[in-house]
Amino acid sequence: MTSLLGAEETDDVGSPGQEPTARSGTPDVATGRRALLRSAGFVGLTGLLAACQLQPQGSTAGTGTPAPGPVPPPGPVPPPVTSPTTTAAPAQPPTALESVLIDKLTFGATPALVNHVATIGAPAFIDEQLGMTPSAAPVLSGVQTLTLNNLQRYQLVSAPNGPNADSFLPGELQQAALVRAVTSQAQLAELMALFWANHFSMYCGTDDKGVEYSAASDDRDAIRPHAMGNFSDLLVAVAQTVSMMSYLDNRASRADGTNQPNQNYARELMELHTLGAFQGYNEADVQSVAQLFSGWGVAGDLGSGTNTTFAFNPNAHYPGPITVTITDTVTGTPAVWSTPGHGASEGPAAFADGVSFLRFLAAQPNCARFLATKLTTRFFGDQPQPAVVSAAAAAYLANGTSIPATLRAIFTNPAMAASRHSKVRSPFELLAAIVRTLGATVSTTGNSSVNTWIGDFLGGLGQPLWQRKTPDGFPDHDTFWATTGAMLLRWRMAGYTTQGLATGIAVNLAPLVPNPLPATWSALVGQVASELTNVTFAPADIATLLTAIGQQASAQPTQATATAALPLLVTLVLSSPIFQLR
Amino acid sequence: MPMLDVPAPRPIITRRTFLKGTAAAGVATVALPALRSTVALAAPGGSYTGDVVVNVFARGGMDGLGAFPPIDAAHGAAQYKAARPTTYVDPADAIDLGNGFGMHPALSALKPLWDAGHLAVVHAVGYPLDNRSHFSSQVFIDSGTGGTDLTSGWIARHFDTLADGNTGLRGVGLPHAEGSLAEAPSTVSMGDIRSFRINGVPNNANTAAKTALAALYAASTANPLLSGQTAQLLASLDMVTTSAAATLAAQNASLYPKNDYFGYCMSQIGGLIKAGVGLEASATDASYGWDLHSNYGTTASGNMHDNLLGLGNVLAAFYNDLGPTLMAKTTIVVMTEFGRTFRENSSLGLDHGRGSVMLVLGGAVKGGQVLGTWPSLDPTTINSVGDALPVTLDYRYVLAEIVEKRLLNSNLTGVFPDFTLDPTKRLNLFGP
Repeated sequence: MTSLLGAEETDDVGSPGQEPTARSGTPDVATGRRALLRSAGFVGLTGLLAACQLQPQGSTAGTGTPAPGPVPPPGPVPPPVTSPTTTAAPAQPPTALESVLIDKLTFGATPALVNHVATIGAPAFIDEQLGMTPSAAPVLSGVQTLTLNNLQRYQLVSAPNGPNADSFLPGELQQAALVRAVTSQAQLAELMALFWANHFSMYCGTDDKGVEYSAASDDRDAIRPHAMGNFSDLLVAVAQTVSMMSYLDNRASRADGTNQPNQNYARELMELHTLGAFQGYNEADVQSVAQLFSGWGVAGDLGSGTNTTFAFNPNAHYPGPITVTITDTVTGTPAVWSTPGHGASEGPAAFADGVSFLRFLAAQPNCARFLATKLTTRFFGDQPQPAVVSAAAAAYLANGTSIPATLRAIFTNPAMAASRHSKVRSPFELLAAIVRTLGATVSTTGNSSVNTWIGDFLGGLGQPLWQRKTPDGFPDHDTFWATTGAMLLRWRMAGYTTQGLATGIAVNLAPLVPNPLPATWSALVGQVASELTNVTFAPADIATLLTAIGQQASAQPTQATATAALPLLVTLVLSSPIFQLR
Repeated sequence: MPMLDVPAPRPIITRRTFLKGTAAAGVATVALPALRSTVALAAPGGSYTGDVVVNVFARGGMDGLGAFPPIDAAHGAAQYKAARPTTYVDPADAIDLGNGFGMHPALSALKPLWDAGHLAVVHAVGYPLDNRSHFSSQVFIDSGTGGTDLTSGWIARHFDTLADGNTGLRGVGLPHAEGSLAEAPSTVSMGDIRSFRINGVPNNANTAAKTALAALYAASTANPLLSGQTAQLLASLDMVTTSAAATLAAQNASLYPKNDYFGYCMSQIGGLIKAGVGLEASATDASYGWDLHSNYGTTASGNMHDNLLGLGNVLAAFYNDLGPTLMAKTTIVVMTEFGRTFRENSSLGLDHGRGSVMLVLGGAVKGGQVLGTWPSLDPTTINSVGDALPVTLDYRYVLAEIVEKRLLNSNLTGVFPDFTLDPTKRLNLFGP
């Protein structure tokens, strides 16, 4: 197995072997897929919407964990997944705003997506995407640790010859995320699922906290169901997870008697999850909040054969009065939350205090601004956009912390139309965009070789999803991703993926050869570049690419020479500056 | 399948195996095939005669009090023990450094450096304000300020204010870009030496790809950061003959602890120094789990013990890897964003604190001493700073002396614009 870093890596699961045969290329309609973007104009889709698996709003989300018991047999193999393909009546090319929304609300353009958005228009596309939620349907066949409960997951990897927990457990999450990013119709919902997973970032690797056994359950049951809901509900759900209580050391936090509670969760709850560092609170508040969440923890013990679940222990809870003051950083107005305190005999009331405080935090103007800033950065870019942030924060507060309402305020801002290519794609976004625009398929077999490769790929690029050791999540700033070392790896990823050397990612470049062949190499290069990027390349850049592939502008390509040139040409286009941006 | 521009397969430490700590193979000697690139090393040139500085950041909040505990009554050993029933280091277990301080036994690999006078410990030092946010305080420390927002790293401003004509590769962040080098000229980041090249191009067309990418990024106005970083990268690729530097990096690989990612990074930095690429500064992370809110462990075993074992062994390995001649012109500084709470919490761990230690290592260090102003550890003092070891000295006293004496840059206000150095507080790390 060739690695991203230029040397073969051992797979510490065991023999790397050959990964199971991923689906080799797309079905016959593939040759028609590129026909959608022939020079005559874009083709629209009459059949597309029927073929789409649109998930209606309010669909059933993950409904909790199966009862403990023997590991269930592998589920049915999900249907083959490809980018949506069809041919239909021609439509006009996308407008500037439509191209922006394609880049921002999805993991990257595909010919079908471009046609879809050009057909229905920007407002309808925004409505469509805001109306969808992350699917609860499993996307991986095979063992599917993602459908297990914590105990089943633990037993699976602890069994003799079981898969390696360190790579397998985050690996299945990473593989599923990539499959969803490539194939889901609910593109924005999947973007937001990853956004919140990063916002509530937890390290899912082997250490003494055990989050690797519970991360998939909590992503499925706490994060995904609320990713397009209300932030208040999301915050409350995430706080009541085995993963969060373990990762931020709250699970054994006691404040009864002379015990000092653990400050980690209390601190990061305010600093990272809701308000921002020092935004309206002080160290005394951190200690107060630590007292408030004492007793929030975990029941069960995987090593003893009982499933772990969130549990509140009234006996460990701080019984005294607690007051927290959050000062609005704009108006200077203090907001006070307090409780007279509830002792061990008043468990439900003591627990309710914590939930009440979480909702209090979520409703703070400081929180609205903190989240609005993060979301504006996500969708607009790193340049400050105070008007957008302000509108988004107002929408958040006016709509009961609704995430879609906040996003709508961002997407409908007039400045959006001019914001294309304003943000560097993160490594995961780049990989997903490459796979999507190539029409490649990601293996849906939950397999250690495949997901180990994807995990190592992302790790090599500095974005090992679910494996960031610190709770701040990957910074969403261009300066974090666009480093000199990273550029080499991004180009390398384009090359490896294009050539079909990425384990589990099957590529067929044949459909990318324009059909019919243009009369000149110059036209061919221009067409390939614009079909891959949804951008018209400048003549100077086309000339650069012609030089690289050793062809003359006015010479005539043949099927054979075009096919031979394609890997290098595609690699360079996918490595180009414009493709790094969204 | 097209032939790829990759070396022959061999086991390599991946980040996963580091984290897992399994018995994977150690860093193997690299036997690269014949080098495709024939670009010669660019001679650094210029007038620089200062040290190479290696900036090691222990991110997460390293507990300096536990690494270098007080071991006599005068320095508060009794209060320290009372505050940490399970996690304190007993004087009998510590390595006696003299003058009331001990060294955690897991750092024993540093004892020869201490005895040779090449290790200095600065205690109760840190960021001057009470900032217990990892992320915020790290940013300030990397930028070398006391709370002013600057986007440049302190080493970058050193480069900017000392024009030494060095045409080589002045700065390297490894394994990734480091804040102390943010916006630094003639600086790159790399995962490791062997990955620092264009690779994976169809038809092995590396040169054609490099030419094309240079043109595409230079012509692009879409994102100046991308274009600027790429230009810097492409200029730097020619400065590192990958095979030579990688061979030098692997030369003394056996000195470094196995399965230790910090050790791997330091071996890479050592390789770049030995390869003479013109390095003036490198920055990396001592990437152990320092943020021990729970399960700190005991003196004999556990998380803190293991962290310190790694740190000490890797620093000693690097010292021996470079040897006396190169170490005479190398200065390592180890820092952290804050120490930890004075008292244990109910999870047998420590939360965020204030003062911690900085370590300075190198041939020119007047070491073998614990420097700084040691505070009282009585409850009044500890409680007055929120249950932590106070900060009695600004971290920039250490950095400023390195900049002045070893990087040979007297423009301290240019490097640390919001820092006023009180001469009476000089540490004299490198002599008077």
